[in-house]
Amino acid sequence: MNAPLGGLPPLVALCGAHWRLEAPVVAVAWSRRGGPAAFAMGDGGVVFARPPTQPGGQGAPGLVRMEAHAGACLALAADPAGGLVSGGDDGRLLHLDPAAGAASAPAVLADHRGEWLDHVAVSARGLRACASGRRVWLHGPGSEAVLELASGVTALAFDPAGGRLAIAGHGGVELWSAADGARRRLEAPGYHRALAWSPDGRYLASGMQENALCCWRLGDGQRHLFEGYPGQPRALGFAARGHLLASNGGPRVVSWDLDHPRPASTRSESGYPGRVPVSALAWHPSRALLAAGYHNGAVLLCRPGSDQHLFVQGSGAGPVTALAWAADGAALALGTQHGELAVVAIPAQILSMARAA
Amino acid sequence: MNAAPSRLPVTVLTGFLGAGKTTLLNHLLRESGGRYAVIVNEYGEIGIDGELVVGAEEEVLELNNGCICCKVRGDLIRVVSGLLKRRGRFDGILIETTGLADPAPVVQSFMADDEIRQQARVDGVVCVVDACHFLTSLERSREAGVQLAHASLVVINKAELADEAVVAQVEREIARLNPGATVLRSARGAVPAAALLDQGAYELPRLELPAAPSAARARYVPVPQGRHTDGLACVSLVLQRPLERGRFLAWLQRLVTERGEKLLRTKGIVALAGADRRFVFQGVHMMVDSDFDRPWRTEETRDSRLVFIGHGLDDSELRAGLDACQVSPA
Repeated sequence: MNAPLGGLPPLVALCGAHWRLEAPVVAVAWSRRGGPAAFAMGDGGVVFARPPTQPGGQGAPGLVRMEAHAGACLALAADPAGGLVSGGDDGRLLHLDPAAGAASAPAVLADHRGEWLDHVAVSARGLRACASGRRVWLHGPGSEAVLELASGVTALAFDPAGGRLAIAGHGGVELWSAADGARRRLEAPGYHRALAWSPDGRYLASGMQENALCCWRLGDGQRHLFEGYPGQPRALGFAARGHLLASNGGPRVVSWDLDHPRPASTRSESGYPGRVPVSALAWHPSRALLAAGYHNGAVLLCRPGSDQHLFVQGSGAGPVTALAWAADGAALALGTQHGELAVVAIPAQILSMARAA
Repeated sequence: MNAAPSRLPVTVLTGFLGAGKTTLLNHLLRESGGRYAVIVNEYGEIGIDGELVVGAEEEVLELNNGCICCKVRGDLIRVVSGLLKRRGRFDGILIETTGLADPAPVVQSFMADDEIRQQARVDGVVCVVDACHFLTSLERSREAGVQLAHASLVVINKAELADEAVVAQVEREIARLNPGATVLRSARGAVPAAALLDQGAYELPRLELPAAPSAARARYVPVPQGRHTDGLACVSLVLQRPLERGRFLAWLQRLVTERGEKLLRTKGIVALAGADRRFVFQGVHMMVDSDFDRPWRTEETRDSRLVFIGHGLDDSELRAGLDACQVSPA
């Protein structure tokens, strides 16, 4: 998969803008209300980029850089109320407003000096969570709390409604309820490293160190374990509608349909059938379309359960570490370990070829 | 899948409290000329001269893969992942472990995690021992033997304070229990930084095992076990006839699955029947990394050399198992 087949240039050359920076891209998120894509960088900065407005990459405004953290930026999340929230190894939890301009200083939401804030999450109700080691801090309207966990925190995720926070670690996942502060433990032996909620909040999935996915149906506590990955499924996500769960963990994206009575029998693969591991993925916000990033830098659009694919970016830019669709699904942002970042406007003709999810 | 040259080298320092780990660490930071991130457990208690010193709470986690010896350090995965995000600012990572720590979960963290393995590699495990006290530690404490077993390089510190006879005895014990380790003597942690910082001890193409003939052969005689630290022993075997691929791989798989907890280190350079390339492997407990390496050279003896270090190993059983993997004599 060194180059797109058929001689077609990748989408980034046709309708994208890309940049090469000195630091690795740690995470990417789109600020709400039609804002730019924000890239958290390993040198502590957050850079903002917009997709080009005309074909051929013309009309792309330049990058805007905001100095955020003193060391590395370690985590980034879009704030549903606007802007972004970032955590860094300087212990600060920041709110960034791209409209404020490069010269503006980000607002400091919390300062946990001496801690590395490696995970942040923001709820639809305005709660902000950040984690370091075995502690999770919650900051928000009417609630300031510190949760102590039995093991180091490996991932944080609020459910789509914003009422529950899932905290992953060793031996299971802990659920914290914003309504009453109650904690509930979902036990499952193993080391849980990544989290994803289904859009309706009925399912919670975790990616495990033991090359497996664990998935809970929260209504009745039923648990499914999906095994047989050659690697660790650390990038996972649910399709916009239904309960199709996709993850990496091998050279292809693997999906399971949890609406099926025996989901393990519905395993399907998508993307280029090669040998390069998938390193990142992102579902389109409304269509049955996946963006998959690979360890060699390639980024493809794929249809679930199909070998069909379209190159967004060819290989060579280093492992893809960050992928995110704009909220309207009209643009994709991507970033790599080697500091390559791009924002690509995805033509409506391409999106219309994929059915609604 | 191995040895992407750009992977960040990680050096692990083990050794008992008082053996001189911190002194050695500071010496390395001064002498190497490189920029290193340092991960320590006892953060704040000791003076380390590094630019970037990070504390990590020792969090040993069992993996749920049917093997109780598959453990990783959750704190290290976290800190190293964070350091890798800001890559380009340093040349390597130095990890100082606590005096009683088992190095296996440290090394296994780098073998078991896909993301970390793609970007970082353990370059070597350095065990710092105190020339005057090491033999006593070895007799009294299981941990001393375990640390020695995992070492790719042993620094005999404070050698100038001990009798030459004692130092020689220390060297013999090291050679008996871990014949593959490089041994250096030092005074106050002063050893050449280059020798410690570019070992490639876990890179299969750089795996070296002492050749069998003449002087070295004495080392290859199986030694009666059980004298020290819960029967820690090293079994080194040389087989002249090539091994049959299917039988050998099945044997090795069964060995590490069934004996993984007792097997601290395994290493081998193997001649498989019909293969033009050397088959090399190295493992920590149940985790084994293996690959076909360079072709055999024409002047080379195509024998198989294997080393097993562990507790209560039965050398005759290992020998018999491997004998059964050999192809029939022509």
